[in-house]
Amino acid sequence: MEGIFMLGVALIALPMMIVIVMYNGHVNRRNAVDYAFASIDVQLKKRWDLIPNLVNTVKGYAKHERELFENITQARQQARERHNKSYKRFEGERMIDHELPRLIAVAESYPELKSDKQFLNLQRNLTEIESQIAAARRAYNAAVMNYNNGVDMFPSSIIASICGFKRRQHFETDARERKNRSIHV
Amino acid sequence: MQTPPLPTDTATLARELQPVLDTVEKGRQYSLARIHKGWKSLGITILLTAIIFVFIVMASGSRGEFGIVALLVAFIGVVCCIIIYNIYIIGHKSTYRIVYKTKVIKAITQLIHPDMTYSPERGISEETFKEMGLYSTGVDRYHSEDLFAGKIGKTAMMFSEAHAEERQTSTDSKGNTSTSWVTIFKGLLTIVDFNKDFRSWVIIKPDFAENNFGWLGRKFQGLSPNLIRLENQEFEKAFVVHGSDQVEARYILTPDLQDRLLDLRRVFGKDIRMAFYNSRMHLTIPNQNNWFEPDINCSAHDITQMRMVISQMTSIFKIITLLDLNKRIWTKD
Repeated sequence: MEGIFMLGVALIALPMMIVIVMYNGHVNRRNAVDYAFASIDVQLKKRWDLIPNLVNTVKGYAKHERELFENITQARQQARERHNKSYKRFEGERMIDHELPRLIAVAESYPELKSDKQFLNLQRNLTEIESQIAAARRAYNAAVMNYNNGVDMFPSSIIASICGFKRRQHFETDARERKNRSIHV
Repeated sequence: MQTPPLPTDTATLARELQPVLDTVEKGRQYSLARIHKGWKSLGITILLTAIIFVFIVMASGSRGEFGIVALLVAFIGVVCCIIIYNIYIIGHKSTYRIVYKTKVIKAITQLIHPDMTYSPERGISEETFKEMGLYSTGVDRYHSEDLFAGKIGKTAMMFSEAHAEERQTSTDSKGNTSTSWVTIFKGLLTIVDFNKDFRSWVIIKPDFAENNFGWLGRKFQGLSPNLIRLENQEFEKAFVVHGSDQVEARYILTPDLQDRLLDLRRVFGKDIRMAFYNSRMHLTIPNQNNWFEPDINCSAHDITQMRMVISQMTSIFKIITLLDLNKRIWTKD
């Protein structure tokens, strides 16, 4: 009698344990995605802060590149406006990703600017931030892949669909940006 | 900035070092003569001891009353042999080794890289070796020598030979205990200043679990909260990476650096290990051979010997180029 009771307890407890482990696994992986997202966010904000200084420094030497400066300022404004906690936040950065290498390319065509200490310092800072963004993006994509595997794979996909764990989008670079990249990371 | 080409042409170096080599060669000839003399003395001592020993034994006949004297003679003979061996043979070999290292290898280092210094008697400390955290076993005996330190271009570098061992005591069925020394690491320890600043740590080791247990090994590794999985499949197969920060680990291990570390593995073998902390890269290269050692039977002018020393040191200097560590486009100067 006692044996049957123990078996019954085990039959109830074991599936519950499995469900709890799977649920916690989803939560753990989702938190890792959110943490990685926050890391990118910090770096992208650092880049926003750097843009006005960079534009002002280049402006001092290349006054007639007005259109480029306006585009970058507008891209920064657009990114700030689109800033939210969804992956769409990355789309807002695409224009900056495209315009910043152009700004650096223009700046490098002015020899005086290339030797300007302030510009060199800003350029190094930008390279640093771009490296950090690239690293954070890779960490985010790795976390998303891990999370999505949990959401898609059987049997954890059952728990995911019941508890509302939805697939997340990767942070992909624009094809145009990949072609034109000039900031070394 | 590119590192200037190294003047590793051995013939040119030999010409530059001619006065030094002449002096060292004179010393070698003297040492060799003393060693030969030592062997002769050793032979004579053994022969004399044997003759006296046999003579005493024969003289005592069956009575055995001179047995203690014979043993005393044998003991004195052995002590004399040890003294002669240490003074004439080991002593002169060691003297020549130190002279060659301090004069020739030091001068070669200065000619190849003026910003590097060579200290044959010094090495990377045991504390630093332990701090790297690349080998989990406790170190009971440690020795390090042949320290090179300085800068290659913009990058500070130091490396030395090291041998770390663990004492293992075993007891047999009769209760007799025996102690043996097991090598934990033997080879070269290299510390280079990394071209980026970072605050976290990253450890890279050969991927033993995945290579031997496949899928199961990979799952087992996944239990570690510090595991870092990278995109490069070849790198993932070769190494297992642990780090304290997922983002900073990727900041350090860019796709380009992963490829370069695979190149480093091709050059130095699959057992290399790396630890990144304090904005430095620590690398261990297992090597069973004793590097930077001259052969007393080889002339100091011998080009092959010099070439070997040069190739040993330049193979380590080239790590900077191989990993492109002089590239300083980030905020670290």
